[in-house]
Amino acid sequence: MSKKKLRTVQKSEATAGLRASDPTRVTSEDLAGLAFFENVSGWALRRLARSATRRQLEQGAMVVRQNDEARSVYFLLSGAVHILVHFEEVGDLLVGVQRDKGSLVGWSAFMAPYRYTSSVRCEEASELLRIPRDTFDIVFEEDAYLGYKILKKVATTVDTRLEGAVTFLDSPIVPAEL
Amino acid sequence: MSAPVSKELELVRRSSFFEGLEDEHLEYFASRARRCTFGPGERVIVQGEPATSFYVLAEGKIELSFRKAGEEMALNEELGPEVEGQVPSHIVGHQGYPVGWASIVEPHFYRATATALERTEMLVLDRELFEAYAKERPDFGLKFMRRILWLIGNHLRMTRTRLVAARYGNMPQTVRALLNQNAATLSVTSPLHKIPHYLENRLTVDDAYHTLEVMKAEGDEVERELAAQIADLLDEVWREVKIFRQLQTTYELVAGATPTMSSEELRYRSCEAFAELFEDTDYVIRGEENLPDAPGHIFVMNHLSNHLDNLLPNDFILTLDTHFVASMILLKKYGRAPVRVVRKSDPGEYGHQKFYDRLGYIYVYSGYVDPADDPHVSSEHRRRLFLEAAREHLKNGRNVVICPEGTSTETENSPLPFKTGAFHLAANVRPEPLIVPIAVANFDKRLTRTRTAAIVHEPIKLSEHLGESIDGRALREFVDGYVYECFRDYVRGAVRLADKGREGSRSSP
Repeated sequence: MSKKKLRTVQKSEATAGLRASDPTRVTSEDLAGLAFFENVSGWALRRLARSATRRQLEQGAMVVRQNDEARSVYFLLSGAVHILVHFEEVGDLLVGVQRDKGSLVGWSAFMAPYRYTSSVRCEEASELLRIPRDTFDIVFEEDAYLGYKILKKVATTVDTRLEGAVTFLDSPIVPAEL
Repeated sequence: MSAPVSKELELVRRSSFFEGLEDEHLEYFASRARRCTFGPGERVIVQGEPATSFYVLAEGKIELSFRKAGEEMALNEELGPEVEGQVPSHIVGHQGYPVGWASIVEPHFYRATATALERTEMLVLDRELFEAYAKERPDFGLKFMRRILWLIGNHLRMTRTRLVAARYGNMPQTVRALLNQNAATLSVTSPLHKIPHYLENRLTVDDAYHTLEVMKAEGDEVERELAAQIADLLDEVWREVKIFRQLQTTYELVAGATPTMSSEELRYRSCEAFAELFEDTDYVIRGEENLPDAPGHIFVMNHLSNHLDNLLPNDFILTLDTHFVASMILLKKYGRAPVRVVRKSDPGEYGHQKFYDRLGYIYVYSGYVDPADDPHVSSEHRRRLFLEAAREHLKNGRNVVICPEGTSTETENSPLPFKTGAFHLAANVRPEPLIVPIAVANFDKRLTRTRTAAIVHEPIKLSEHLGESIDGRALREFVDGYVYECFRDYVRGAVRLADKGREGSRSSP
């Protein structure tokens, strides 16, 4: 990572730490409560938490859009989101629904070319936790083996989604109304 | 002097999955990989079983299939879990293709079943090997997991595309959707963008094939992987292309034959070419025990329309059902190609005329009469000419194939009402030939996506039903009643036979 990028991330982490009363603030305990971060060391959780923010989104709000640059990873804290994929001549198709607490959204942020492969829209009012990709990169740079273990969890999530896609798409589906 | 590169190292270096991983890591794994050989039908991995190994396709072809969550897998004592009931997936034949990422990803149960379609060699790498090496070299571990993510991500995109396309679209649209899903990484100048256009027309599908081959060998990382994915996706299309090429070659074999070659020899060669084509398709034949011991009989069959995909560039379509009966049933039994009765070509049907003229088939007239055939000849006289020509062939021990409907239709509407010509012929030849009914099904579908069926039924001896002296009215009633009713059941039987499981397919009893 470039020094300039690193400075920006460090600055945003420092600023986030100062806003104790900020409703968007996230603590390492918040992260530790999510299954995805199980067994992730404390220093890494603190680092990730410093740059993480909470987002309250209304029903119908877009979390990410297909083909946009994947700058952040999201975790669903409450509510439900629809995963939509655009197909030429067909439109936006619903390919999955996430409603479990801690569900990972926007996994493309972990993989080049860092473009979201689907759009994600709130099915109902939802709360999500957002962590910038850059912060994960810093953690991975400091502890590559931890990075290996975190990416393994991402892979498990995507693998489960692949299995779900077969079942979901093989059942009757309708183009999503956007 | 550098040490020779092992086959294993060469393979992983070429595999797009291992792209971006340093050579020292590749050497580590290549030197520790085992080679495993699987015979046709043998399972490489089975969905739901503990995932202990990661595989790389070295040689051969595999089929990947998924069972939907919640569906039980029936067990077959000989072959293991049944494939029936699984969501069909795709066929993979490109070297370096990785199989069994579930060995790397928790909960470590295989997500798919991989079955060898031919003799297949795989490199096998045990899960512990990756785990231990990732701990020792975390820089590798991180990069490797990114490749795993890339692999699963590709599969996720591919699966979504395939399933959506299967529901909504055709093959060009599927490829277009796949290209769109990869728009973020694929160059706008990539020749891969031409593929959907090439696939739109049967005559340019070959260009699609060629472009994919070039891209697989010379494209950048994204192009190579996408080209391989598209090529696997189009496996069925390549089989269709092969059939189309065989049809073209067979047409040329007949229409372009030297003038000195006899009709008899051309009929034989054409039948041989068709037999080669049909051998690679999914078909089933029953009732061959009903074939008379010696030739010289009349074979009547329902006639099915042709799928438009078989339309040759000169607008001629080779009828598949009649050629199937001629090549797969009659040629095999008697060693001689039969003579068919065909409709006289209309003006402009140059391809039709050129082909059938050379085969020496017997023409019947349906409305249009070529002036060269003497316009003053009455239809009664033409019928007499037909009877004489057909009688001659029968007397010389040649089988004659007739489709009494005089036209063709889809399997679902078959048979249409019969004309009586074939039965008049039987009534006018002595010694009396047998009339052998053959019912066919599904030749109007794409040969790569259906199972065709043909059933030979017990021969009819006309005199046993109508006596020695047969009048036209009695014959008409016999054909409209008894024969037609029988044939309706026969065709339904052929449809049922085609619908049955794969057991017994591509074979005679």
